[in-house]
Amino acid sequence: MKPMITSRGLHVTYRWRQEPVLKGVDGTFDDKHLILGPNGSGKTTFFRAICGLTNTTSGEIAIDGKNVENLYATTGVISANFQEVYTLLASNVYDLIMLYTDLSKGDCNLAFDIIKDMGLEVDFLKRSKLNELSAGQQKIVCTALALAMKAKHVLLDEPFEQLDPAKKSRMIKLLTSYKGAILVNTHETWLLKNLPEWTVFFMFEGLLYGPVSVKELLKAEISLKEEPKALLKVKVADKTISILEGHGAGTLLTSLENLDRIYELAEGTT
Amino acid sequence: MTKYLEMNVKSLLTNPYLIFWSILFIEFWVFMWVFVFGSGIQTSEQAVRLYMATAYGNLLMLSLSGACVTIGNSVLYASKSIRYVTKYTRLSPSRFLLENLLSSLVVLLTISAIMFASVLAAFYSKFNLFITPVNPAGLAASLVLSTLLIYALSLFLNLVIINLKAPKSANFISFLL
Repeated sequence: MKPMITSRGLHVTYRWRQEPVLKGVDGTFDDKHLILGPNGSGKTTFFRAICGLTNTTSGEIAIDGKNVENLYATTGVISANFQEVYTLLASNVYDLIMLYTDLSKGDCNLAFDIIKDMGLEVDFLKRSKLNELSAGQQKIVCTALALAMKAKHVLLDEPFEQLDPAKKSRMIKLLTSYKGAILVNTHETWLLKNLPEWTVFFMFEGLLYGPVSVKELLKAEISLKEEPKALLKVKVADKTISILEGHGAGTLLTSLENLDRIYELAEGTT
Repeated sequence: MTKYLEMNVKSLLTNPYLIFWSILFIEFWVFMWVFVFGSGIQTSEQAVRLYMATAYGNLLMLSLSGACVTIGNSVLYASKSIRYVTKYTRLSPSRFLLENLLSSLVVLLTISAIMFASVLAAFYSKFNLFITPVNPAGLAASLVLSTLLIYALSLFLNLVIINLKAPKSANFISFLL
């Protein structure tokens, strides 16, 4: 059976009587996928729900057919690059890497190789705690740990944020060469041209749309009308926006740089 | 056993709050108890023995409660991570509890031993009497039981505030302990 994560009718609400962050997320993830969406669309909450860090209000998440609520002490299934996952002890980063690779039966040497490749020294990790690192360094360490755990599914939340262009390029190589399924959360559309074999889901206002292959999206345009031949129709700020194959009539999706700008388009401020 | 047991012991014993409040601060009170408050004590062995037992019992209680505040805070700090590691690593919930208990007991008993040695040394220095416990097995058993009790109380109170999603109440737990 191919490893997969499935989500059915997933709702998440953080506080009672507050609007849900996820409003019925349905999807199946079995390969390398990007989840593209603007900030605040629910991408991180969705990953947190898969990791068990957030309580779900209704719906179900299953990993390889097993409900995540019933999964305990299951190694090699899920790893993630959330910083809060790596706060079991307030130790230095070196000890944390040794601890988490031991607990997950991962490869600590792989983690150190990735970290060194990204420009951090092991001696520096022995002197520093995770919360003492800069945001970019924290992202590198957490992403390296997630990859070194050798899980079937790796969840990476904004792995390119706060990285310089050279490190972004190295990170792309790491992700494409990883043997396993990867889900990457991002709001940056420049990534699309670097990951042509991946598929994309979109997330807007707590709902998931897709999948669409990256190859189709490279020439895709955004139209502010409901187009009958659209690849996808998404609801943004109470308007239906169509993502359709490029005909030169709309705004190129890849020209947006990041999906936060879709609100400017929808509200006609650009 | 996983690396968590060994690393939790190392992490707690090198925690600056634990070192200051449970060891250094209490050492100051050992000094005060023996050399300042103890200056009027009769030098008969029975009187010194009773005075030393009172000092050790009281100061150890303060020291262990300080250590348990640190242990409780470490559980609170790791609460999100605990949820993840018990699901997706080989540290199952029961294994986590067992290893957390064992590592905390190692830390609390180490502190008890340090306090015992320092009280013994301080009393020897002041009264020139080397006073050992009348019932060493009883002392050891009561130390294990008291560390278990205070650990269980601290863990229970911290789990309550984690479940109530009220981390700001951690200060109230510090006050209770």
